[in-house]
Amino acid sequence: MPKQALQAFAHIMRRGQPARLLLVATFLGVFAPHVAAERRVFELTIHDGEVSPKSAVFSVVQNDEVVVQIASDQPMHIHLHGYDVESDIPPNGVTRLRFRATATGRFPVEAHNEQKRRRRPLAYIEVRPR
Amino acid sequence: MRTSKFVRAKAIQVSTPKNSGGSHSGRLGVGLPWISIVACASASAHGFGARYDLPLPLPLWIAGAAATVLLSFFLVAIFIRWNPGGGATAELDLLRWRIGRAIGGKVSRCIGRVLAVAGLIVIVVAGLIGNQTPTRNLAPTAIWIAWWVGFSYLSAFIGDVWCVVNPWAALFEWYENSTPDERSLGLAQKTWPSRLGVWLATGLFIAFAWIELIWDGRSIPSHLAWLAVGYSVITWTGMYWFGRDAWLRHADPFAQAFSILAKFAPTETRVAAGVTAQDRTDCGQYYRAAESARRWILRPPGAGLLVPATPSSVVVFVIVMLSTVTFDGLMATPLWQRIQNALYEALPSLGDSRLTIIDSVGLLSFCAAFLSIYRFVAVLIVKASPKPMTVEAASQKFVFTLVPIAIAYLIAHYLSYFLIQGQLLIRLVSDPFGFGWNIFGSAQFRPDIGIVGARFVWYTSLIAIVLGHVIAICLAHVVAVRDVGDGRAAARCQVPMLVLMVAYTMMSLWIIAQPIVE
Repeated sequence: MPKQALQAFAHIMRRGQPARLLLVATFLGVFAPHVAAERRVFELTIHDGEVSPKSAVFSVVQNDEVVVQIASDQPMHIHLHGYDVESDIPPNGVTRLRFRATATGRFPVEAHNEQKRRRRPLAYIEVRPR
Repeated sequence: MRTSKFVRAKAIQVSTPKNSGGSHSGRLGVGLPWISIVACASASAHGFGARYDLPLPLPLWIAGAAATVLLSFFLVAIFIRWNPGGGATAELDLLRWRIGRAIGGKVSRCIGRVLAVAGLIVIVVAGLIGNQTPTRNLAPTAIWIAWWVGFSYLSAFIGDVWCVVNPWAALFEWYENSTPDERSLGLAQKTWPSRLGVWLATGLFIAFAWIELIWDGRSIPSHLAWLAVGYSVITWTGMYWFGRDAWLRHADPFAQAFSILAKFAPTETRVAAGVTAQDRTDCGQYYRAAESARRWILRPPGAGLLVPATPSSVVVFVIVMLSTVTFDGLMATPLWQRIQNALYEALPSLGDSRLTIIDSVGLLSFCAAFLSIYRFVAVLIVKASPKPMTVEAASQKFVFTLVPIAIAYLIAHYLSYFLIQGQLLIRLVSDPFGFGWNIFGSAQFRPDIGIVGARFVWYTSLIAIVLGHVIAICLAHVVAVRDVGDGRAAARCQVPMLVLMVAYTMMSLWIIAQPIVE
């Protein structure tokens, strides 16, 4: 099979330009994304209720190892929705949400305090398909 | 590749403010349990109904938009020559097979109704006495995902299942049958005041949409249970006064909404006696008819939307329904968030409930905008039509042809939400009240958020939206030809509708290409 496939490939490469472009695009589409999963580290700092970077979207590729390090001056409970990774930050502390991004999607990271009801997420993590 | 570079740049940028907190991490890192990855069975108090869709990528959006416009022109070119006959569409009676008779018979309706009534009772009891954490109580998931989204899909792709199993109708019918009163409550042909049309259903549907989209208490189990109780009181009082069928046909918002979606569906129940394709009967009449007079029709999807004309109040109901569905998507876009923020800053005098007021006004204005745009298109159709007709008549003829676009959008917008959040039901049936039970042994089930990948959702959404658009255009042409009689003239008077459909489809595409924000 591989030999025939190679022959067909060579044949198409010799033929017209559009077919060649299409084939190269398909090849890239099939193989290029299969690069090794990366380890991705992102950081968030919360000071006086201000999150920096503000309304960040951290974009990773499926199967990456993701670490989100969050430092805060206030104690709080951090929750990454969807993956349901949770962690507590002590006063003036740091925590890390660590997970393998197996599922694609756009997942909010939220801080849960007792008082406030509706809060904007601290950040989003976008897991793009490979 | 470009994405990852972009992200790396971002990650570096992010690391700048870190230095201030870096010392903390070193100090506290020693003794603290840094990573507490909790298998979160209880999830969070507010986390109900979250959607994790990735926005449709730009190249796919462009492909979808281009296909929409190109197919529209292509179809119009064909239409100029195409005169679809006025004859009936291809139909097949499913009752000719034994399995069809089994499914379409009274026994299976009875089973469906018993299950529905049991479900309703469990949901209400769970809401009233159960754990009030939304994800640990059966009520919110069962109502918003299984019932509202689930029955929308069933209606659009199977048939009017809600009409068959509606537990409120079932309970009322059983009550009628148990009291052999000569007034025979439901069947009493008390006439529904024709002036009222389906206005009551429209009003109740707007109230329902407000609860679904805006009200803060929408995911609190006890609130939902009390709403169900309130709805029961309204429904049964209405059925008592006006008769069961009259109430369901004119005043019940859900019977109305699901039956409109079911016009698209490939099956329909009918009663034979000299019935033409237009005489759509609901399932109540079907089950009352003699077995030989029943028909359970299989037809091409969308054929049921070719209704000659419909009362003006139904036109308003359809447009309101379509606009609330689209508004649901719009509310999750960054655009709406910016509008909300701007108004929030600008109107401090409204106090704490500002967001609710802004959203409510937004919902109503969106409905009003849809209605006015549709009215305007009807005016243009009248102008373009070679035959004199009133604006009213034009709007009545074409309104149902928009339904396929709405159904396509329902798939694009809710499919992954339905498949991911719907899995909560597996856990909840084992512990409906959140008391820590494990009836079927599935209480520890964790939803698989990877059940459908982003690529699958993107392509399904795109294909659904383009296909819905094509079906809508074809239906509009059939309606136009039936009215004008000639393909060329029909194509001309159809142009305003075509422009509206392109705009509506583009809006659906645009919304699913937006990142979802909360």
